Amino acid sequence: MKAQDRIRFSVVFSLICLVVLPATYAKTSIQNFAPNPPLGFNSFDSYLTYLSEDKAYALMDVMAEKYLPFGYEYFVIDAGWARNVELYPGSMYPKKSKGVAMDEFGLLEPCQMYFPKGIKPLADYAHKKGLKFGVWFIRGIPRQAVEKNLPIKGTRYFARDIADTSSVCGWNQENYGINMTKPGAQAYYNALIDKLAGWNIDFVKADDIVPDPLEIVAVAKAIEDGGHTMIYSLSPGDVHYPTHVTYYRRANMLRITADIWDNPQSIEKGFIAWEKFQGTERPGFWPDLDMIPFGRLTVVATPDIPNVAEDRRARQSQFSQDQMKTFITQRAMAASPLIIGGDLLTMDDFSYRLLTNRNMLACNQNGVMGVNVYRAGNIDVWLTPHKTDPLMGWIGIFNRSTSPRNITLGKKDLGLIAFEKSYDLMAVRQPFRLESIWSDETITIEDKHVFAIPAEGVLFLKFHQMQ
Amino acid sequence: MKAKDSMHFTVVFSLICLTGCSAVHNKTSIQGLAPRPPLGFNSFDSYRSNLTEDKAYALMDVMAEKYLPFGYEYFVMDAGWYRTMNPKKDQDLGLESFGVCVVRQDYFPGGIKKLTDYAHKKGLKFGVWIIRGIPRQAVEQNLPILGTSYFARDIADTNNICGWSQANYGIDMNKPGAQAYYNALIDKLAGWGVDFIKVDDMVPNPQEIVAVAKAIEDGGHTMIYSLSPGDVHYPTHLAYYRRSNMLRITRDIWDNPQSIEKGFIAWEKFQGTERHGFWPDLDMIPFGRLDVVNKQARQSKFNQDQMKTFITQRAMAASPLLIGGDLLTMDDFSYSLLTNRKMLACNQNGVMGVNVYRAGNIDVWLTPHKTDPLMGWIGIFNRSKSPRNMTLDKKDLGFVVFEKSYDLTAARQRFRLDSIWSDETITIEDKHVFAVPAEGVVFFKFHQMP
Repeated sequence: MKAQDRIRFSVVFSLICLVVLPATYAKTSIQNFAPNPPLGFNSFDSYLTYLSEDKAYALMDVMAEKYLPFGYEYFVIDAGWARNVELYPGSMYPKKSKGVAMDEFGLLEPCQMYFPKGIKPLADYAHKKGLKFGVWFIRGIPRQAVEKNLPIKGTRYFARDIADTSSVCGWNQENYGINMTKPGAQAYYNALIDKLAGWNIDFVKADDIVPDPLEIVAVAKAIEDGGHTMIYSLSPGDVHYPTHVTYYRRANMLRITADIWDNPQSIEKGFIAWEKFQGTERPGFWPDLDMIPFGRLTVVATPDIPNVAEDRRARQSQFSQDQMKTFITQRAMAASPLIIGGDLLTMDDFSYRLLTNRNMLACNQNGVMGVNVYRAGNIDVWLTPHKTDPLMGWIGIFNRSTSPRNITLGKKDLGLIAFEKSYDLMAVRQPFRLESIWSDETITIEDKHVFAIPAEGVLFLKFHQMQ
Repeated sequence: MKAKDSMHFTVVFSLICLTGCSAVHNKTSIQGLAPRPPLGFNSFDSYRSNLTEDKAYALMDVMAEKYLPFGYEYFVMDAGWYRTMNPKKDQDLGLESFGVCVVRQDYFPGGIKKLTDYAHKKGLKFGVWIIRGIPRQAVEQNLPILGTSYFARDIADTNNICGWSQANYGIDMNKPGAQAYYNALIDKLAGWGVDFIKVDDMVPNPQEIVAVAKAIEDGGHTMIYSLSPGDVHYPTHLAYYRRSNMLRITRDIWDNPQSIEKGFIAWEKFQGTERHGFWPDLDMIPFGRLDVVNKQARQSKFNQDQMKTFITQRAMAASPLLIGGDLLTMDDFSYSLLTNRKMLACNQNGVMGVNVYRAGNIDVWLTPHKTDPLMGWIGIFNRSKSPRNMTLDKKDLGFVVFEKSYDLTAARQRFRLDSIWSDETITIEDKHVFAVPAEGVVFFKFHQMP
């Protein structure tokens, strides 16, 4: 090969490399975005739909300093950022809605009162801080866009060509669903996602979408075909249909409970949903037990605001410390995304310690949903296997009653069994070391042990098989 | 940039590309090896553990000609290709110096590599059965573990034995040398060009499941990894089962009605656990001539309706399809079922269906299309011994949508149902009377109509 040929060869080869590499990046795969359950903050539990710019910056500052070192990276603004409102004077609390904020194609725009400088500066600030930035949106196209019959960006179709006015959300009147069999329908979702991606958004929480598989798929296509890297989260979690699991898995997160708050029923809902979905997680797909209502909640409705429902008033989370341990242990052992709901600006020390416990986070990021191995007399035992090492894992002994319990459990009750001979299910001979995550206690279990579990509390243990 | 610099740049850049590429191939990922349920043949149902070289070549010829065009590519030899099954009779296992068994000379005088090369030349892939652990003879002779300073007795756990084969002892994976033994075994098989291993007595032993997965991946091999048997499972072990490509979820399946019932039970238990790369396995398909090497030689005792039910289960459950019957003498009816392209499309769709209706021995299962919510497959199964006429509406068939959020209603749309085992096409607006033969099935592809 002459020198000139060699240059020509290497130039051609480099060109091939250059062409191949961008081609690989052109289309993304959602399932690759979340190898472990996502960790972050969502504004709804503390700011409902009233988060404003100044608070968002303040929250990101605290998050970057105190939570990011533990892995909490997604800062997500829930509903309210794309709706214009009239405010009570001197307050960020809305007196009334002035409709969806949208552009000439019916695509969402930032609320003038809450985010006058737009969303992109916030996303850029998040990235500068090492965080990632997410926003909520709701399935469909704004009814205002349908009334005005606005054009669908990049097509010759209009809002009325794609809207299905009989497909409406049960609790939000802003949008109509989209008939995905109509030309222009996919283009609308593409334009919406492209616009959010243009603001450098890393995470979308799509609401009212779980019951609508065609639109679940449409948003997934918009992200992947657009070449975007954007965690895709599905809400709400009230209803599911087993034949739709294959479409849920086009997303990274699927809400599996109705809205969760600081009450005992929400803890029971967690057990029920976890059991129903155990084993369905995948790397890239995480059944989601909803936000974590620890710390100060619904902080915007201060006492001077009139006509606010009692459960929307600013308060400290009503959970007891044992309930909180149970609540976070469920999410650690079920490999649920951990999205903090309480106000980061005023988080109490006890909540912060639970949320940032590295042993708890290790169980969560292990990325395997535990399974129920024992249930009797309101005592549940759940076991979360280590993803690669069969000699270790985590056990939670949960007391689902309202009185403290002492319970004797053997190795079989705890799920610590092995098949010594094929087909012969029996207790393993080896002892196990159990290290408590919420205390300093260490137990060696040879045969059985009496465990003391507080009312509505949990004993959360990491186990190792001993040699 | 000068010309020389630019040459430097491009050479370095090209080297980066080349290095990057080869690094990707160094370590493999088992989950990337089977994006869809594997299709093939396994010799056990027809040749038990007595498959011989001449038959293997003949079977591969037929497979390449008549089955490969439909996707059946894995030719798998079950137990018997090396002497382990009956060590009392087979005194000499022919162990190599490091305790990895060698091929039976009387059955396979040409060795395994020639067979794999032949398979590859024909466009097939080649698999072998092995069993967990190390041969007991290797332990008695205390043979060295290849590439280590350890010996068989250092790693064998003589308490850990298989319930139905006396060939091996289990391996204590905590011992040094244990992983090296599995590495040596897998490296040896890979050296022969083996593309698929069926590892028996493995399911109850999570540490050894992981050890074989590591041996494949760290060795950089591309080898489908299948776990047997399917008698016992433990839910906390699912994370380890998923280190393989196939998990047997039933006991041995044969040509009897109980085996069909076992299929429904296992399918229901494991529905939703499949992944791209991990396929719950309903065992081989005993169609055609079975047990051809012994006194039980027979034509499969399944009737035609049972056969349709049997293969429809496996299509709709996205189970690997491993033909068990003798390919050399396969009857036309069996062949027509096994190679039905519509059935195969449902199977290769790669989604386990779910049970959407059950009443009076009638089951309806629905398998969603992997990407298109407007189509899919339904099976209406008659699990009783008498024919049934059954009125089912769209909701019974799983055709429900949420018209308004939280409002579960039958879809307003009409659906077209195209029968896979007949030419019938039905349009269902509301409900329909389905005639389902005893122990039979009507298997439809559905489309939501605009």
